[in-house]
Amino acid sequence: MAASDFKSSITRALLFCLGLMFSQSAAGVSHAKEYLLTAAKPDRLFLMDMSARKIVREYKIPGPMIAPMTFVPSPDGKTVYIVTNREKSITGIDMDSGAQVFSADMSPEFDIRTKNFGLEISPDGKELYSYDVAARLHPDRYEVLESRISVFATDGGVQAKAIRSFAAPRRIHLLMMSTDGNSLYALGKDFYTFDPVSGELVDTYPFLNWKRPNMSPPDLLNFWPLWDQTMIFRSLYTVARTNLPPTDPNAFAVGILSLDLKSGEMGVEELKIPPEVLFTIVTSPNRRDAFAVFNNLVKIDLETGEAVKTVEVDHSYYIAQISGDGREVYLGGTMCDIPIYAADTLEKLDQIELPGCPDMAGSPLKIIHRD
Amino acid sequence: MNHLKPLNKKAHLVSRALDEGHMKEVTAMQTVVGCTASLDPGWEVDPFGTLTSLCQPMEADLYGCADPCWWPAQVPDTINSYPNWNAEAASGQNDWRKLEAVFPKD
Repeated sequence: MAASDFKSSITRALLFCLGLMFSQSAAGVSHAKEYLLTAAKPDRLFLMDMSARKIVREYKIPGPMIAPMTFVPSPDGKTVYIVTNREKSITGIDMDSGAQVFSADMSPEFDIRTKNFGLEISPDGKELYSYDVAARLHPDRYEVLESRISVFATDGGVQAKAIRSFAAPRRIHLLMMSTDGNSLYALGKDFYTFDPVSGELVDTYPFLNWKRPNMSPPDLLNFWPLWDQTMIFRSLYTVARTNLPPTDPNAFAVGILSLDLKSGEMGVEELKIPPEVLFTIVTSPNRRDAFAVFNNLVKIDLETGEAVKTVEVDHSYYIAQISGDGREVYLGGTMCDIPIYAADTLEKLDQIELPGCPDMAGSPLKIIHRD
Repeated sequence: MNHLKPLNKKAHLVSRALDEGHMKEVTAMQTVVGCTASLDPGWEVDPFGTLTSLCQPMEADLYGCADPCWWPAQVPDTINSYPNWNAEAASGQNDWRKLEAVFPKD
């Protein structure tokens, strides 16, 4: 090979590599590996490689506690923020070292008891949003104080204080950020939209207060943050048709409340499935299928609203989560096992059991990407 | 409320709230989801009058409900009065024998 040909070949190879890098970057392709994260009683956090079917790391969550509650990973996958200390504190753990890098106590005054019931992080990872339910403890009574959303800087260290807070309605359990970080959604009786900077309540989507003829107020569990793979939040509700007698098979219906965290579009729609209690629903990356679980695992066609397939599961599970390629569905919450199901057939493929069999209880299953 | 008579201090507060028009601040669940909550009927029946949507087994649902105080009447209140009730029983299905009854302190 002549020197000029060699240089030309090297140049073409470099250009090809650069082009490949650019095209992958432009397409948002990440080389970080996908993991599943959950917490369990009394103070455990587990990082799982689901493709290898194993727990790759176990963390001890610092601080007094009997049960970790909700948690949120930072967007870069390096830190996890967990509600601890019987909902009175938020702890941040470095996922590499296991060290505590953040801590915030929500009840600094001895006579005020403040509990967290919702946690979210900004898309740039700089701010944490905590929904706080506060009460002043008197010797003979509890005085209900104004519920609020407190904002913490994630670099606030282990004695972090709220950098701002704003009032929020009661009964909120889920906070979620729009993908552009400009809207903070809070799901309670209704679906509220806040400006995360000013704290202004800019919109209220009526849910419990909807005015739909012949429909009772809906009821749903708004506990689990499930939008990792699609940035579409969905939650199931039940509703009674008030123009039908309770003995009518069509008197009760199951529906889906949706929020697209990218577009901000919200909606409700009843499904054509038999009424049964299903705790959570997760949307497949293909956007057409969804998987709901409690005592059954139900695959739902979102276009027709019909159940494609239903299988019994080993016991009640709170949460269904899905892999990034949409091929596997993971179940969690309640006890100590995480079964893996094939998304196309709902065949049970395998399961991971947490060591010592501690209950996950209400802890979420979150997808996390790490290098 | 026509057939209910307040007997204790809290019940009188509820009755007074009703008289003063504050009851709209408390909203009961219209259709029950989950096993039970403070105003739900209990573990006996699901929202559709059947048994198929009850938690299976009950231990699977125990801490998910008890720890965030979803069952303040049915199990000890771990948020306010008995914070360590299940501290030594991380597995509901295996450790339920360690879950003791509790009694108010003098």
